[in-house]
Amino acid sequence: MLTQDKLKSLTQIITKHQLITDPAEMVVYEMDATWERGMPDAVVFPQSVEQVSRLVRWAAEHRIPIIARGAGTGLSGGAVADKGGIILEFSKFDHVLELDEAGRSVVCQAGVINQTLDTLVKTKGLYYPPDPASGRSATIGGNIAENAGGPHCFKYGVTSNYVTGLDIVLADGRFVRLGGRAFDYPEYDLTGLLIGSEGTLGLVTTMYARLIRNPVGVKTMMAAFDSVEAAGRAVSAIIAAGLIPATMEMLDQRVMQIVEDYVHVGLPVHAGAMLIIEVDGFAASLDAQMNEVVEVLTRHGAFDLRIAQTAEERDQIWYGRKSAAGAYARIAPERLMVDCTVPRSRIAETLHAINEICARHNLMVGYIFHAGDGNMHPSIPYVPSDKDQVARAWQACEEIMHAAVARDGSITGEHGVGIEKREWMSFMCDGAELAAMQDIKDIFDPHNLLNPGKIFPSQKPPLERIAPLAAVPRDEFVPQSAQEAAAGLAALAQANQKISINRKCAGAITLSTRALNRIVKYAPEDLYITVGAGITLDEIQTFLAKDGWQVPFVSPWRKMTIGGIIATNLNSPQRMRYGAVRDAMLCAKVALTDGRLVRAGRVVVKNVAGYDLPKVFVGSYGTLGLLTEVTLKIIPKPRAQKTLIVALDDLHQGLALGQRLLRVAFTASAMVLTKGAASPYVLAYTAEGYPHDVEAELDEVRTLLRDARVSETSSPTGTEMWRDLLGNISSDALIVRTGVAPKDGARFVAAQATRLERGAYLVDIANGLTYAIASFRNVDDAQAWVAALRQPALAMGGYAIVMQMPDVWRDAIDRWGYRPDALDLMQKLKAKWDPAGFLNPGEFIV
Amino acid sequence: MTESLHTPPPAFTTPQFRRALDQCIHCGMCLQNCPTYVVLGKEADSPRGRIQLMRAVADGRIPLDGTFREHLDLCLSCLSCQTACPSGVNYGTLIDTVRLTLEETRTPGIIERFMRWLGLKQMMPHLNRLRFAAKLFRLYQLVGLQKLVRAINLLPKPLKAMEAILPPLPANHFDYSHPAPAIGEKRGTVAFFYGCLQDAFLGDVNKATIRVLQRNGFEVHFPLMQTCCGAAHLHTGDQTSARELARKNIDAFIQGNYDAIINNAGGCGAMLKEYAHLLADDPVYAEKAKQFASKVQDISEFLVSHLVHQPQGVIHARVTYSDSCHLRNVQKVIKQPRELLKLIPGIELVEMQSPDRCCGSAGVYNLMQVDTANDILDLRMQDIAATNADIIVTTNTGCHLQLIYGVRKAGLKARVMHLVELLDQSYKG
Repeated sequence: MLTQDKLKSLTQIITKHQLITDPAEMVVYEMDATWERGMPDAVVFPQSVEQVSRLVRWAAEHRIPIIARGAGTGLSGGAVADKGGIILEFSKFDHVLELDEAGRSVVCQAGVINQTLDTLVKTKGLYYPPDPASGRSATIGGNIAENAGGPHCFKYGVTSNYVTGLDIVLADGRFVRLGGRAFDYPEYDLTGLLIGSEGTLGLVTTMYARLIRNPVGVKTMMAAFDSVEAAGRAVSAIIAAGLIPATMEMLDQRVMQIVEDYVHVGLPVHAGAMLIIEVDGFAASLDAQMNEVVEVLTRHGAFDLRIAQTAEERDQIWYGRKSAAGAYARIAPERLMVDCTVPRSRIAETLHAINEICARHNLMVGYIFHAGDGNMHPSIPYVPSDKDQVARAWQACEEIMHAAVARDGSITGEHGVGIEKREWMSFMCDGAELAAMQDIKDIFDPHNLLNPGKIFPSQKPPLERIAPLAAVPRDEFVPQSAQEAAAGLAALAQANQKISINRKCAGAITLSTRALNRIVKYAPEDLYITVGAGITLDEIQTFLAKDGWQVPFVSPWRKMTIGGIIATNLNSPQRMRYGAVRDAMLCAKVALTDGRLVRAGRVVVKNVAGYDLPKVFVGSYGTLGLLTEVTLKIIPKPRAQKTLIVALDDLHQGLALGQRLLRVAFTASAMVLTKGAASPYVLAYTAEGYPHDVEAELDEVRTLLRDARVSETSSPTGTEMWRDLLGNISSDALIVRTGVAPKDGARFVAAQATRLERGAYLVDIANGLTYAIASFRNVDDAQAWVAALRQPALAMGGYAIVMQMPDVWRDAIDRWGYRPDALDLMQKLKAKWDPAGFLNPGEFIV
Repeated sequence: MTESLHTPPPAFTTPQFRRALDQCIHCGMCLQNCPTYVVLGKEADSPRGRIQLMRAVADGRIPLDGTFREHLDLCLSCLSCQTACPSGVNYGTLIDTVRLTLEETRTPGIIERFMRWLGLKQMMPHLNRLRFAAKLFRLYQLVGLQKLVRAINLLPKPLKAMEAILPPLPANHFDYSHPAPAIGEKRGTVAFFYGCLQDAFLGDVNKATIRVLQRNGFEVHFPLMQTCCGAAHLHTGDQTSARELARKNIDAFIQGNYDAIINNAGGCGAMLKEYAHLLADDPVYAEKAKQFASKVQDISEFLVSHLVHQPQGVIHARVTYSDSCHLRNVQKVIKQPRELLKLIPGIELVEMQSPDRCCGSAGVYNLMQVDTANDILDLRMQDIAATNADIIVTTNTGCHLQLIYGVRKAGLKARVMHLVELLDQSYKG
């Protein structure tokens, strides 16, 4: 309870209209959409960042917990104040601050409703894909806290794939910006860590997100199968065929029956399971895609196929799917909506296991799956007053968690850990992984005031460290395994030895990852590949190409290892289509200097069990730990790929054109502007994907280009132009990468044209990145040139980093020239995992 | 957590009430559908929050008075939440039960008691008195008193709210003493429920309704024993009067052999259809009420299936349709008014954002909860203004009055019309 004194000091920060302390009214704040309960001491409605900051400072001073809450639609008890404290309600943070059509981005406050945002951006022809079932009510802040997904994740990914930056208030009341409007800031990806952190690391006030073009058309169908297994096999076959439907949802017979009794939409209740599959794209492509889906499904035993011919029919199919959760309320007043993820190919066997568990406990169970993601929602109805049944339901849920974990899955794909699953975290995470998460919590929230008690189990498994190698490596250290790497790092650290990864550096032992070059696991049916960090990208791509797969990375440097690409966060222009390195890395095995070998992430696309640790190693330049093994998403090689090359006499004309073309981009995988051979400049627009989509999109592009001089080519693509430009310059040249908000890209380049013209350069239009290349005789000129590019980039909220320069100039030229808002947090993290600074000294900002 | 500190009222402890509460899985899908949650932003002013408060009362955790009453009184009963609810919670039943209990246990002040006595007992059931009042108000408008009163702006809040929604009043009223004959070939006979306030204050809407029915070949009868539908009584917790009025209406209509009983106000229509439920335990009236209710149709519902003549007159206008909550959420009449509007040549129908959001009228809500109703109205007018419509079409008396006030308040140029007025205008050419 709050004492009168504390209450009085609280009302100096906010008005009494922004405060609820009446116990009768607080009854409504003791819950979310689960049956977890906890009575807060007060509820406050801050209206400005300044108030949030003051409230947090006040709470820190009095050691009172703070629980952020949006709409209270969470499904794990994340916003329930089970340890008391103050609930900060973000419903007044409901402004969309900026919606930029040209740059395809949005800035909005944490209390904006998911669906409000999506509706708004759609009026501009844009799309914010995360669409959790609660999207009608749920806030963006809550979406961020749980890394919300939804039915369209299979094709479009989850919240973290769209968020480029966050404004947050830290546990000490300080306001910082992580990331921002530009992409790939030179900082640890703390944005990635915050997403899915369930309000335990900071309070999000504003989101910066990228958007994509809203699919022009969509076609929906449903099909019946004899069994869930058969439907599961059909899903695998669709994936194997290289098809990427926008969504693949599965309902089992029991759920169908429950739903049908309720809404009467004509579900195939006589069948064992049904799939809802939706394809999207240009009108010309929808039929072709759907025909192929139908062909694959039919070959795998589908019957009663129903393709929606009208918007009403489509709505009806979705109405059936979306009614599932509510229809359960007709069976029993409460249900345990279990959330777990397994690799897609293991859905059927997991389902068997769950059926067995529920039968053994005499419980009913029905299933809804996001089948494309391997995300299952077994739902167990129960009567709260039947204590025995409740106990059995929870016992079953616990066993289901074990079943998912045993199959390389996660205990939560999208609902979060919250209260509900905190004790089960230790089923999934070993001591090292949990300790790494705890380290992060301690750095952000040393007094454990932000949503205390969530995520972490009360009993943590013991932390095992790998014993240091008896013989401290000398000269070069070439570990043969992750264990050896961890043991070697520990030994080197104990010997106070500096370590340089894959690079010679005076005064440091070189650690080479060249022996960690195996393909550990190739799982095309689950769309991932696990490799040693020392393997080159070329080797991976060659291996995958034989089956028509690829990882969505490109490197200008043939010998670059996958570890190197991740550590330097090297993103080619095609990230506009396939996302960045951070989006494709599912898991990592990382050796720290104290003998810890941390397994982070899981081989599934949806996993919100604890902090998203793999993200923090992306772009960390090897300064936090050694990546030994990584798991990457794989994608099918495009069926069609075509590039339009526009010859231009004038740079400004090209920049203006680029901004216009960006509105069309849907299948586009690159839009770059660079100097040309036959004309002063060229703009390359590459589209790839299904042939009909590519043609339809390029037709739109041609219309916009009108009388420009356009030629068509299969090679080079825009991304290949980038690759070739960067890959073929001499090693004594400088490469500077500048990043600004995509909307500001053209303005930046136009203003800096003279400096850019000093050498070669390439503008990655969609991503707001510019690569400038120049050679200098003396370091002062080089330094002046870098500074001249950097200063305006910083002024625009961006950055300029030196990607390459002669080694001898490394001391004279600041590679980063950037001071992240949260530099102190980065330094603290570095100090936790590499306290003496042995790893890659001088390689990064920290 | 279930410590019982207060004795729950009996109505809260019945198995039916408990079951209705249990249906809510507090998923929160209703939140954005609730106008009070949208303007006030507090969980206790959302459907889920109110249900949670009802649970707390039922469990004896909180008292009926104070917080509970305050937040429950803020509910508009628009039932938009019911449409949004994936679990099929019957919020209407819950809120009606709660309202009854709240009424039984409260002691309104003398002024409120007088106003209720005057409005609900002395005026609404008596059309002649209402028409007389309308004439007085018309005089008040004609001699410029209204301008003066509004300029001086000294009326106490509830009176001011009442004065504010006074529409421009009709010069004369329809004579219901004889049936209106069909025009052209006769296709059937319908009875018209002309309502109370609708007739007295928006008489032109009734005239238009009758003409449109006549033009489509219907003879229109006016059972003179009819009276107010009783919705206002029921929703303010006076079930006894509501049942009494229901019986009178059933007696008035049950004799005639009508194809349908037509009404043109979403709120009244919803109530008339509810009679079967309201009188289900009345041994004499239960069966009659069922028969009666099965014949009740909203004018738009009826016209969509009985229109013989397409309206031909061109009306060049941008039109937006503002759903009546009780027509939409209770009667589930959503598409029909829109389909009829699309039949009128020249009309461009522009849907506003959230056409299903309550305008804040909600029976007598705008007189009782003046501030919240104004906030809700402002939000509604924003949505309307964004459509740039010349005409705002509605299908309920309360909404009609409220929107006229809203247009004035927001300084818009748009006209507010009932759907049948527009149809009638098009028929006239």
